[in-house]
Amino acid sequence: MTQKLTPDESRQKFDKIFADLTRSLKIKDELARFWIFILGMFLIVGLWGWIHQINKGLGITGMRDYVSWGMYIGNFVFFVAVSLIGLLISSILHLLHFDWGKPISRVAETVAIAAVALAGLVIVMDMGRPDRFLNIFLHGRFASPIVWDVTVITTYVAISTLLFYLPLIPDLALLRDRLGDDVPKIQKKLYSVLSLGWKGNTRQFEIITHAVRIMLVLIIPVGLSIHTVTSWLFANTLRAGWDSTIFGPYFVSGAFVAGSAAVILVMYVYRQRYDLEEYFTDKSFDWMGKMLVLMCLVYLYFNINEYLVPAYKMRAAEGVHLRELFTGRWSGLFWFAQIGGIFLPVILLLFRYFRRPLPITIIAFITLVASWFKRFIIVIPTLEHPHLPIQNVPEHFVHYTPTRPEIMITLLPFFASAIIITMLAKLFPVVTMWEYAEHSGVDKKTMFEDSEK
Amino acid sequence: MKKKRLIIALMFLSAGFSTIYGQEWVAPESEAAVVNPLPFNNATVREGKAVYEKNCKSCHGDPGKNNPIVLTPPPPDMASEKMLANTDGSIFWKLNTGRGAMPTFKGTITDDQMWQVINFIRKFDPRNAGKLTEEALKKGTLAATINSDSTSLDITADFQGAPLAGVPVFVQVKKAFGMLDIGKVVTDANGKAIFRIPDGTAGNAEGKADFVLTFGDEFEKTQAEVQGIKVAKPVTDNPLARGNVLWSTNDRTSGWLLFAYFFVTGLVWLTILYIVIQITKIKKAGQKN
Repeated sequence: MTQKLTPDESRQKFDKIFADLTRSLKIKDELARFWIFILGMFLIVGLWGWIHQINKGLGITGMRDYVSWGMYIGNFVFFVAVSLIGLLISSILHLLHFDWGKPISRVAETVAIAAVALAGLVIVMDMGRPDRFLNIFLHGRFASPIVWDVTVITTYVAISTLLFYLPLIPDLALLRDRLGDDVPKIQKKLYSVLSLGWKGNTRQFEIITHAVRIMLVLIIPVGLSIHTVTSWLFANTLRAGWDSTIFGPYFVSGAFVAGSAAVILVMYVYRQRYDLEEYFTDKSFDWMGKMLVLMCLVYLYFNINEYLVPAYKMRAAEGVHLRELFTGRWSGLFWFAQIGGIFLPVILLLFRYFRRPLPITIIAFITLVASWFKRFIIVIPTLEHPHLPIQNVPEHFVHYTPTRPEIMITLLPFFASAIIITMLAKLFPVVTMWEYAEHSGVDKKTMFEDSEK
Repeated sequence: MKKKRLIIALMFLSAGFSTIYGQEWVAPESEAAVVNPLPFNNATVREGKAVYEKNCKSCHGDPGKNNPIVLTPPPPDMASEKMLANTDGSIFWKLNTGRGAMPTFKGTITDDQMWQVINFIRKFDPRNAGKLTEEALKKGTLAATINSDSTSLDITADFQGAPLAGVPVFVQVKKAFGMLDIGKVVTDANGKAIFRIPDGTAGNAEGKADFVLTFGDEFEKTQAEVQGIKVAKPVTDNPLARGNVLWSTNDRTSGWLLFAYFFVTGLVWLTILYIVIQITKIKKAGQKN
């Protein structure tokens, strides 16, 4: 809280905040239509590829007996990783009273929801028979990390949605009461239903605060387990490159890097597109930059452990794997992922110049791309070296090369998540209005004076 | 003339290069000069094929199909020019010495068997084309019964009632993914043979085995089966399906694992339920005022 404002100042200030933060709901220009059109086109192409795959089977992908987990699983790990940022920003920063994280907590939750929802879809895309998906609930084996993964992702979707929804309820009431006719009636009806008859009384605020606090604590173990369990899909095997005791924290720290980069990207787009310089300030980018450096350093530490310890011992299979990565067939991608995903942000973001909005966004983009390839590098090279060599197989079974439909299907979740993020920004303010206004000194009574009537 | 000299020079050069870069495996001249003591005929080639399939095929694959196991360097195809350029003596020497992933077979198979394998490989040498007579496949029928105490198979081989004497009969056991060779017997003058079932022959979970008997390749395909013979004790404890195995069926999953899963999941979802109840309270709290 800064300074106490007079009721009139309060009202003026709040009017401005409301006008700024509802701009994303009202914007309807050529660019918006073009953006949706482009995303839609790519989405249709991806869906067409997927239908093709369902008809013809997974044989249309580059996956064969050796490499049976291809880009889809790499994609899956990437989306689960990105979704973890919801946990970091809206929960950990909040509980540690890092106030700069508050305006971006809804951005983080948006990214988290889009990413985790798509992570679930990616898994279905990796199935040759998606119609048998329900079998995992009917006949799943509780000893299998895959069942744990499905459980934990479902749980995380629920928690992320609730954590997005709970602080949104007062905002929904504001939208219900204060928005004019510039949004469709059906949209106003939606706000009215979702705001649950919010009046803004003390009891309601108590309930919200109480519920949010529980969720903020609950999301920490669930968020950590979602990515730890994902890492166990790999680490619970004996394969070279996966058989590691630090895979859980290794994945989680990598996830914070990817997620921070994704949030920076979305922040920048919101800031430019909806003129929200006052909300996503230079200061927040600066903080995000510092946090990204910290996360990269933690990730670097786990990377050193992950590669140096086996490289010191150089056991037969591990040796083959490490040579492939560092100097062999995969070295190009490997070094791109390591340099772009760790070294580049660590070094550049130490300088204040690079923590300004535009430079940091460019760096975040490179980091995000590198993070995707890092997952690719974790999944595929290991599979090319099975413990039991298979005999009499054609050459293309041994080495993995993704096919064109496979690439189309892999890109689909990116466009789908962009559509989800766009839709959420079009329906709901991208910053929690009441929280931000309260922080700027506006009285809660002033905010909800219309609601009480 | 000049051209010829150039070609010869190039050949020497390339040979030199391949020695340096491919680390050519060359037998000593004295060893390479050793001559195969066995005659090159259908019988030795046939024996050689059996030895090859048991000892060599798993790495070198089928001759002429270029389907070796994935290794670096790849095990050469037996029908390749490079392979056939070896003299019999040098293959014999290589089988005895071994190098890298190629083990020595000294002591694993007899010298005779090595020469038989060499004859089998020579079959794919174009220079040997037409040297083996194409034999018409023989015909015969096989019958087998198990003796009273289930320790041996009584085998009868005949052709239209006339006993087939001195014919090898191969015995296999059906396994989950194919057939396992367990031995060979030769019929006596009456076309009969007794095959003692070796101790330790593995059965299925009930300790039973299915035997399949066949003639060699020189016969038309025919087989006799003796099914469901008790050869071992039933398997009561399969170490691969013991209770405390992580990746197992639900009824074999360790209790602590199930408890952990349901306890944690239950706790989290109860909390989520509690939050949903809180959300409904928001509505009530709004109606009161």
